[in-house]
Amino acid sequence: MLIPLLIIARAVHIGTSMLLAGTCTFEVITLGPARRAGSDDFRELQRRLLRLVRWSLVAALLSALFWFWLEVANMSGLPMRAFSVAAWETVLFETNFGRVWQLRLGLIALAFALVAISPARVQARQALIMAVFLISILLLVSLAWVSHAAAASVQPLGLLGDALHLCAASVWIGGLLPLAIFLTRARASLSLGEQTLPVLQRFSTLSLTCVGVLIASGISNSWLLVGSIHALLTTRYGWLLVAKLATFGILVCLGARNQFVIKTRLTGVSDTADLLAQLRRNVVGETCLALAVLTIVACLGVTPPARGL
Amino acid sequence: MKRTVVSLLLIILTGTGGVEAHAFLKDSEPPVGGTVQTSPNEVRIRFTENIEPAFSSIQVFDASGKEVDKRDVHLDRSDRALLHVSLPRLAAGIYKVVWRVVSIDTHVTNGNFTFRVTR
Repeated sequence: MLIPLLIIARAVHIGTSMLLAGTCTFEVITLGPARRAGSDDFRELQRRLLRLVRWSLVAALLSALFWFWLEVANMSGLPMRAFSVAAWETVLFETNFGRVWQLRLGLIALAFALVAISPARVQARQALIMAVFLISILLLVSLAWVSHAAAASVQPLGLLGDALHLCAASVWIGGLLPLAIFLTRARASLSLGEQTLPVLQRFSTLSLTCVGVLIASGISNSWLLVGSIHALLTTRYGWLLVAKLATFGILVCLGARNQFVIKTRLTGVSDTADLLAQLRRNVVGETCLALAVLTIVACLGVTPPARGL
Repeated sequence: MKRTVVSLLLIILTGTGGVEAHAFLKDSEPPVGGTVQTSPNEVRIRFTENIEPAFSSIQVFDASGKEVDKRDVHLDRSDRALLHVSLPRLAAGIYKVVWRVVSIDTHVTNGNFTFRVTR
């Protein structure tokens, strides 16, 4: 029972950390100059994105506590329902996982404090979002210290590769839900509709860069944790990785379709409502596939790397 | 379609249940199943990953099942994958080593092996 619960806790926590970073990246980088538009519709979009950040933080906090509780049971060997202060203290203060969790919980608390401020001035709000964005990146990077990468024999390549992989996945995959929210709002808003093409172009450029980083860091991670084609095809870790690669391939194809087909039509058509709806459907489809990748990633996290077998 | 997705998820979730372990025994002194001429001062086990000392243990039992180690399990100062436990002077006989470790990436492994002291 512990392992399926650990998979769920990992998937939810990694997913919410990615969503947090993806949403902040979307607001700071993808919206870019469009942030200065200042229309009521735009302010409403920003309010929705901030709400998404808050809910991501709530989910990240709850899943972090759930994951920690499971790890205490896992490491100590005590039953899950048995509460031992000594075991909790030992995990929190005497293990690598506990030290990383201290940092993560501290960062989540800081982010909560920042998003609770909600300043009225635009410049102060932008500074606040930038601060939450930096915190979200630190939250992502720190996940590498509790992954297989932390135990890899070649350092700092293992940690660096995993951290980059997480960041690139977050900017792309974590940005899909905010993009879907933007496209939903853009269908009904003239001021946001005008920003659709530049926003899509920035998201496409970012996504393309992220795919490159994901492939490079993925190859590095696979070399460290799998080691050979034989291990890729004959171990459970290898099979899960193949399933992840196949789903990733479909995701890239969907992303490419969005970029080259729909966006090309968007530039030449005056009535864009249907195209925006179609684009939004594709983004939702990509999000579903991303959830499948996330589940596989969580399974990989509890499976012995092929190189160690 | 729904059934296929649910089945795949169940395979993935339950299929990983038997392999939660990550830090495997790499080598040990005395060696696994080995014979030593004189009583060793300690048992040393090197694992394939760095380990957490807080939840890691090595116990040594004699043939009657009595624990004979000095219960001072500690990590090597220069190698975080190497665990030591001291031993008193052992009489000739077969001894069983039982180990349980938590790797740095939080996964638990356990196992056991025997060694023989001839005099």
